[in-house]
Amino acid sequence: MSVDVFAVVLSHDQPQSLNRVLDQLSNQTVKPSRVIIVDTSKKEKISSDRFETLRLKPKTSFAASIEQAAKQLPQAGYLWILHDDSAPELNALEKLLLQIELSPSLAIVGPKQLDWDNPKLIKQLGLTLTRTGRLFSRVRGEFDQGQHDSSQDVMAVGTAGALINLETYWSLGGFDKSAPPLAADVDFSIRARLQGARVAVVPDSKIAHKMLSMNGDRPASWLGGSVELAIRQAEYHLGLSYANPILFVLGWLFLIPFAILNSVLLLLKKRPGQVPVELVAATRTFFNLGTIFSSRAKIRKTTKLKFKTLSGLRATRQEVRAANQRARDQEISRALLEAHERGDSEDLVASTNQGLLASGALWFALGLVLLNIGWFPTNIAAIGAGVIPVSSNWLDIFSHAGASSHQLGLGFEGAADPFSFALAFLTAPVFFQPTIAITVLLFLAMPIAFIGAFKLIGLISSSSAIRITLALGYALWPSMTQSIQQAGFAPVMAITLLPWLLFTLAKISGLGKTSPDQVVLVWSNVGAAAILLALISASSPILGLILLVVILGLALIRIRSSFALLITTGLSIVWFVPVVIERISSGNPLSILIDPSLSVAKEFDQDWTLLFHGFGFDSLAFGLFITVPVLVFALIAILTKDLPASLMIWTVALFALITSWFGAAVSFGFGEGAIQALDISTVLALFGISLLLLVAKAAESAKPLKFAALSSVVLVGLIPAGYGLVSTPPAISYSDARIVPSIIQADAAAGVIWKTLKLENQTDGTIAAELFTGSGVKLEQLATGYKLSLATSANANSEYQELGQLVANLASANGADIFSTLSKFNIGYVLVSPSNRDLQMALDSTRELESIGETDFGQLWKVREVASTTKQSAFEIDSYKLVALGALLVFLVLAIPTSSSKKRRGKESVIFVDAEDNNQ
Amino acid sequence: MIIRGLVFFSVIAVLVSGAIFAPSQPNQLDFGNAVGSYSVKPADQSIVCPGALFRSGGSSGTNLADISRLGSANLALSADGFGQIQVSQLQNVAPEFIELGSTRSFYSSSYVESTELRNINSPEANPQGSMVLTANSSQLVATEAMKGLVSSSCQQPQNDFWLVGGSTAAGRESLLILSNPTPVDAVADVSIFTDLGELRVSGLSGISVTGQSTTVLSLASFAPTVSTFAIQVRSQGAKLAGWIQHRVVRGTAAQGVELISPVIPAATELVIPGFAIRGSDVINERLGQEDGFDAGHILRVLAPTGADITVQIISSDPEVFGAVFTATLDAGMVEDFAINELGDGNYTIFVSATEPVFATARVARGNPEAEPLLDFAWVNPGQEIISARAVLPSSQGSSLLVLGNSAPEPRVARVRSLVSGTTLSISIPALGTATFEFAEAIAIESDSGVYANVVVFSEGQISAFDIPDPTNIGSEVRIRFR
Repeated sequence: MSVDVFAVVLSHDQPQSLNRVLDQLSNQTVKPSRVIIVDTSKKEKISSDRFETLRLKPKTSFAASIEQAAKQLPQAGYLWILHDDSAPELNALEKLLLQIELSPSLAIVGPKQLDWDNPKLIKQLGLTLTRTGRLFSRVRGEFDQGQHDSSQDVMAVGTAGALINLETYWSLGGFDKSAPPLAADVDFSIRARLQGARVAVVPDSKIAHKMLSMNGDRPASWLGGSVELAIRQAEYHLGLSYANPILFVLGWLFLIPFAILNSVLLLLKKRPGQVPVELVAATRTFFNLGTIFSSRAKIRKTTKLKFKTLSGLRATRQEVRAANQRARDQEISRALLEAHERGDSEDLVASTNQGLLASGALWFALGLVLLNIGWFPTNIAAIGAGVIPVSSNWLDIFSHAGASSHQLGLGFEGAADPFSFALAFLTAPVFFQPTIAITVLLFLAMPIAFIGAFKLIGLISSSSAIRITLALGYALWPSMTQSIQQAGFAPVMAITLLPWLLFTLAKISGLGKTSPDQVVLVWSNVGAAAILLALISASSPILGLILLVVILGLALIRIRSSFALLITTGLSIVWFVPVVIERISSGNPLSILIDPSLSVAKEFDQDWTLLFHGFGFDSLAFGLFITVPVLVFALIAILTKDLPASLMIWTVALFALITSWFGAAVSFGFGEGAIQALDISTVLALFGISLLLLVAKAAESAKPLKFAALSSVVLVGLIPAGYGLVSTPPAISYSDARIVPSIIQADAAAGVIWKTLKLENQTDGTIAAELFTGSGVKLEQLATGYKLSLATSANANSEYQELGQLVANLASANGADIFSTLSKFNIGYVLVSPSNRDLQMALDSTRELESIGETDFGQLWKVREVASTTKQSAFEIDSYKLVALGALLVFLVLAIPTSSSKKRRGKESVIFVDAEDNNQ
Repeated sequence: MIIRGLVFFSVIAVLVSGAIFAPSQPNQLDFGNAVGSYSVKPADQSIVCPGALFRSGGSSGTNLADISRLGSANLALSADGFGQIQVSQLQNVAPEFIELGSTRSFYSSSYVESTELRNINSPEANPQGSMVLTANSSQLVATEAMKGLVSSSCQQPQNDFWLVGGSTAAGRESLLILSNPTPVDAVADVSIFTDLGELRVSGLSGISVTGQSTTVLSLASFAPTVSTFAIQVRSQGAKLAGWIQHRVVRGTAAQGVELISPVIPAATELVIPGFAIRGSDVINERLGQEDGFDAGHILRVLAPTGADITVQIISSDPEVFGAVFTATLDAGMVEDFAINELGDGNYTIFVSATEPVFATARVARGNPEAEPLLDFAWVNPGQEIISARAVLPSSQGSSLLVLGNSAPEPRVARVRSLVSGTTLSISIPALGTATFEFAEAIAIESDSGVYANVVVFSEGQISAFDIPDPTNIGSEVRIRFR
């Protein structure tokens, strides 16, 4: 066959690969009639004596470049397009021409695209669209064993090495200059198809394609952004360009909502990185309506067939599914190779860890429940020194999360503690009776911590005995038992969730024993870690700070996971931003570390006893014995194999210990004996879990060590700790969640709202005065900012001065006029709690008060003739709250495990398979 | 292995050196102070006078439900300050007002009902105490069923007070009088302690004393035929003023009546001046008779937590030895110690105890030539006088100021006439007593602390009252906001 073939080589700043292209072009078995190099290089202009060169501006688009070249050519013949990164084999053109000779109806034929460096690897063999309009490459990354060597019609071919009938080219008006860069080739092929021409791949014809654009190796400006963005934009453009008029209008109108919905689905599929791509691509397409109109006009001019006639050429679901699986396999393979290169191969073993049931750990978890049966919840609300009920209406709890206006005292403007977010999150599943969540979590804290520690220790040891014993060690660690004894809900939460967080962080970082199918990043771990970190930080800011440093350190030494690790801090940052800004601007940055909620901080001595959680010769306690064998075997772990791992864990342990050393000396003063110690029990829990991991490592190294470590932990640690727990039940009582006398509760329930002045005669002679609204101050309403504001400004606030004078007059019963102040502050009740005879005498003799008598919560007086108010909606939602809520939802959606999270792809695979997941 | 060993010992070194050598420095971050101090204006000074004595049983003496006032008492008051003295009888009678001006005011009248005297409209900085307002009440009664001299200082209402004295033995009557001068209702709980400990009987709690009223209860209803007791009154709501009206009838002859006022709080050192014995022969004679078991003098002591006590009775006459005795008291039990060996004279009783005790003394007066044959008075421990205290003489009979000094050295009390301004110094011997008869308002001053009571004699009868210093203290109240 004798036809004119005009080769057009597009060159853009890739002189090295271009040389290979030109060399191969020069030595073709069938030489092109003419070769034109279209040079749009910006940096390195080519200088070829061998071929004709057409220089264009660097910003000239692909379509325009081809058109400029085509204008130099006759109207008949064939246009052979080559890129500066696509080198044809010597017979590539010959094979293409042979196919055209055999099938004259073929207007466009493309070669088999092979890897630039490895000609055994197929990179592309024609293109098509999925049912949802996503670009799809049927063959990619497969070894070329001739399995795809039958010539086949395809929907489209890539332009690299494509041979195009010039008549078709001109009849179609060339490539669409309005189309996004990566849509131009597919669009051109489809238009050819719709005109009645055929498009096919000729597997015998081969080119080596470096795929610089698809690999992101060309400047971003070349594609107008990232590769993923260019592809998604191309898909949106093609979808709207080929849609019928009705679908086009609807599609354009709902483009952005669709993208948002798709973003949520992407989060569910653990592909958060594609969310920005999705949103930006949709937004760009939405505003580029003119280019779509232009493309549609171009399509309409030449279309003779209906688009649905091409449905047979589209990718099937089965093809997409198979492609996904291949992509995941490739990614695991690549991750395994990287792990081997890093020397982590020893940890990459087939998981032999038994689950909770198979290992019998579940029974031990139930055993922990039985150990605590003495304080089994008998009512919905737990009440103790460190816990009070939350509001009965979940919306009230939510309204306090991130709120800047509070009804505490005479009203308080300031940032809410991040702990209020944590409470809103924890209670949401039981929104119908939120306080149950607090009660149940407190009661089940030990088994939950046990299971978390069991999973965490499983990263070091596969032995169920080691995992169970040491997990029990953590569940009964003094930090946990003492916090439960004191009913400290916030520290209990932090300690309970700590092993879970460490487990997810280890998974993200690829630390510890990992089965090969888990080496790839699972985004659900990132979501879970972010939420856990936020919950822990909110419950114990000092522990949150330490964990932040640990995560940053981990990100430095695990570069591969650094992005994901940094992402885990996102939710914590969002929750803490208002508090941090407020405290720094007020000159009290360290106040960020004040424990939220009701502090039950134990004061530790700054001496050697800190190593043993306060255990000393003068303070023998059964629960503290466990620290001794654990510390000893943790030290021995250094002498076992894998020193770096031991060092890493010891670094964390020492960091926690040193921090707790300094923390033990820190206290916060709110004036005249009102001192709140920094609660370092949570930090010592981190020290403890680190030691337990080291013990697991020591026990794993040799059987004698295993026997010695486990037996000593059981005998010296677990048995005494268990006995201590049973013999001294926590100071927790249960109630119906009422924290005020029934009469006040009834008023509040009926929507009749008064303020109640609560007085307490303190041992130092001062009278503590607290003003609360309605049915009392609930757990979520407590705010460290309020404490600070009272300490810093109550004595300068005229209203508080007036309130103070009122209390002084009430307490001294001097007959001074108090009604006006009671009325001004809308005080309907005065409560003395606990009961105090001196105050009772004074209040009894006050004519403005009517004694109601002794109640469950102290002595109560009703203020005569003070008008009530009705309940006002305290629901507050502002931009910050929306952001915080959005962040929480994003991480929550990310954290929810889905089956598709396992369907991961390699970089290039992602490009062409993404959207089809929507249909699965 | 060498590296592991090095690391092993390095970690141990870090732990040990950190535990031993690291400095321990508390670091408290103070954010301010949520505690504020507030000045409290003292309540208006208010004292309550008991009114006339009560007669139980009506005119026939048999209607137990009938308890009514008997005759009228004399009220004497003196005030010096600002504002007004509001004189309010607790029976919805329109109050009278005494304007206070540049000179000290004196007022006396006959009255029946319990009466509140309140200094109103005084400036916040106005001092309070007996120098501003003092008053006493006296009544000489001589009916067939009740004969005797009664005098009492007007007292400041309290929420918690003790009355030590009285008897419900055969022929003896003790009425508990509770007056509520405020418009706020009060509920009183009464505890009765006897020689057998605290009585557990119903009806002692929740006794209602409505605003501006007086409630009278016969203690015999709760503790019949008990010759030795003390009671504690605690009220919720308004503060109350309280007395026990103690009447004695031997055979068919009324032989004395007295109002027992609240005692000072329990203490380990108590001084009871005013133990003035007159008519010892008659008393001793009566003591030997069948119904004369309580004709003599006694010291009544209650040690709430038990105590060992030493009692010294010192005469104003240095030639008279007095008496000394010791005793051990069980917790919560009231004990009477008879004092029968003393001759006529003016004495002061000094009580030293190992634990705080309440004490009061009953002193008898023999009257061989008139009716009643015997009268008696309950003498309370005196308050230590370290600032000026005003006292008025009783409007019945002659008033004798009896001073006591518990110190081991002599002390001087200055007695200044509030009418003429003349001052007289009285030296009180170490652990001794001194007396001064007065007929006009006086102020007692001492720089070093003395004790004093007033004994009243009239027509062979005796009564006594203490010299309180009713003060509402303005103070600083510290409030912690939270």
